[in-house]
Amino acid sequence: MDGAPLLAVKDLSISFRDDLVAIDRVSFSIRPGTTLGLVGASGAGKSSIARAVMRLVPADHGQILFKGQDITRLGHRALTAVRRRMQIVFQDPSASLSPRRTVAQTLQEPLRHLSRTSAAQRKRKIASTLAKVGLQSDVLERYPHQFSSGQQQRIAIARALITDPELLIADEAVAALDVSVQAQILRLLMRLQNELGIALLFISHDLAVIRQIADEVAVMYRGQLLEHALADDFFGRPAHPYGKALLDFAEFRVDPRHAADLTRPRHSRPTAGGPGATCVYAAQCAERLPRCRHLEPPYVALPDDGQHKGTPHCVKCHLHDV
Amino acid sequence: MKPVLEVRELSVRANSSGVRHRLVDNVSFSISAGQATGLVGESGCGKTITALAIMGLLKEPAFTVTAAAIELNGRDISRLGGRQQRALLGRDIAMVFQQPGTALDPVFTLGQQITRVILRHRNETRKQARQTMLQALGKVGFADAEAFAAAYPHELSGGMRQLAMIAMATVCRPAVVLADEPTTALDPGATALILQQLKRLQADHGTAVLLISHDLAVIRKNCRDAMIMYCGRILEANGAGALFARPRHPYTAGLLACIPRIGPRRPAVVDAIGGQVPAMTDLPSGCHFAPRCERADPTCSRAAPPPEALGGGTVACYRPL
Repeated sequence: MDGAPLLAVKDLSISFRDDLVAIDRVSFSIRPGTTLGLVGASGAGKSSIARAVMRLVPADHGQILFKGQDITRLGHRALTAVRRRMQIVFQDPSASLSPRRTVAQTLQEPLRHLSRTSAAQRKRKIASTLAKVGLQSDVLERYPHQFSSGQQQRIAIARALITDPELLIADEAVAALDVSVQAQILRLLMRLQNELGIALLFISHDLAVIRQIADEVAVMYRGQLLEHALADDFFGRPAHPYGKALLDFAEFRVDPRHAADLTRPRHSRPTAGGPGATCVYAAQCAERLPRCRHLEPPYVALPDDGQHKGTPHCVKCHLHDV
Repeated sequence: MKPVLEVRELSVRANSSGVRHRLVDNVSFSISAGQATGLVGESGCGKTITALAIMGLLKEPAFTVTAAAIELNGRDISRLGGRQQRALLGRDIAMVFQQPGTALDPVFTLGQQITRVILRHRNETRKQARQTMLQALGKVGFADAEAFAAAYPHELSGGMRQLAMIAMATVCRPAVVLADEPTTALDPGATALILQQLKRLQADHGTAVLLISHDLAVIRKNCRDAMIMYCGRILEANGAGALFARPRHPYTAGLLACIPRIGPRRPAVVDAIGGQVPAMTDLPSGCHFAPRCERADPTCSRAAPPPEALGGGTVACYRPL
């Protein structure tokens, strides 16, 4: 599979205070019409990536390229054109939908701010978008609290779709939903991808959900990207010890070293690169080598997996550094 | 072996402006020492209300709780007065909630909160209680118990707060722990850790655990028995292995179909249960699940199917699989 990526993130770094590095030199890309699943524990930096891509927070270093255009430091007006093309759906629809606006008002807003449309055009667009997400037009004059969380999430998705974006970021978008509703929303997202060719950046710490929806998987830990592969390659042959640990967690197995990590108080992460850089995962790693504690591992591609499909299986690990 | 917790025909009605509807309808189960029983269901099905009713935390006039029996080690706890009940809660039966952030008091350190529980229920001096508290934190896995005792809830991650909740709930070695969605707000690493702790309690102290969750994977892997709840009723109950390998109720089968396995091949997304859970104020007559059930026929809506023995467990269905 070739073709220019829709979204390319290159060596992106973001810190929130002098000592708190949220994203540490992360690079990945997403091809049009495909789904990248971004996984990792809470606090790994997944949501920070989403906010960075949406240009909701500034980048310290690196680049964000959308359709080949560098949007990293684009000004507000120029960003408006880009913002139509990428949208986001959050975990809690009741928090992301304004309780004081009807569904109609909520859906009109992006059209008003991000495009030039007449009232008649907006009306038609709203009707067709509602149909796409499986809602009837009788929802228009109601308020969010009158709907179930599954329906609220459909409304949030409708709002995200209404400007015809090419990239949809779903940040734990099904985490708060019951299992049967989760399945409905996942099917909806996959159908929309099929019909509209939308690319999806799907953030979740639930590997079972990721397994259903992702074409590729990227694993984050403490702000760094540790592994990136085709979904079949990741689930079939996880390369990074943390990737393997995540699959163990899904089976409710916790390595004692990991248990210790989860019960250590939060501490500030080391600044990107520089002296003293080690493997960020070394202290918890069941397979660590002596050099892991004082040498940052390189990001290497495994020889066989995924090369032929344009997505080599990459891992940041000394174990694979031949 | 006599069960530690026995619940027979528990029903809870909510009373609001003259309307009384059943939030929990005739629920019965028992849990033996050292065992975990899972209560599975989607939001609003009545799982939390069931736990609160067992704890005696639902009071008139807002709620009417009726039961043939709620027994802890053979002793009826359903009609206790205030003082007796306060002695019971935390000491003999404890509850762990979904949102540890809101269950913990933000203005006291973990150490202070856990110590307070010890002082209320055990005959210990402050000095002794502090040692007990530090030991409890160490037991649930905090490597540096002193540091955590000095921490405030907001300084900790969700997983750590939940571990602290478990320490607090179990410091007095209750016979029963009701864990209400203890891992729902947590990521998989913290989830695995919390469930490991519950297993340790069962093994080391013979604690009986009622594990409430909407996550079938959690129940499947961590409970010996399981019950499926829908709109206040138990639709099916059996050993967890049997229930998930061979579900008898169409709702159970539907839920299971929605849960993918993580394997070498990408699974299809199965939208197995159409429609939505009905509002508790507007429940369908007869079997509450009938309108969403592919196997339903008119008899299903006429009268609620009683639980029948089948396949080693019970199922409430006129047309089980």
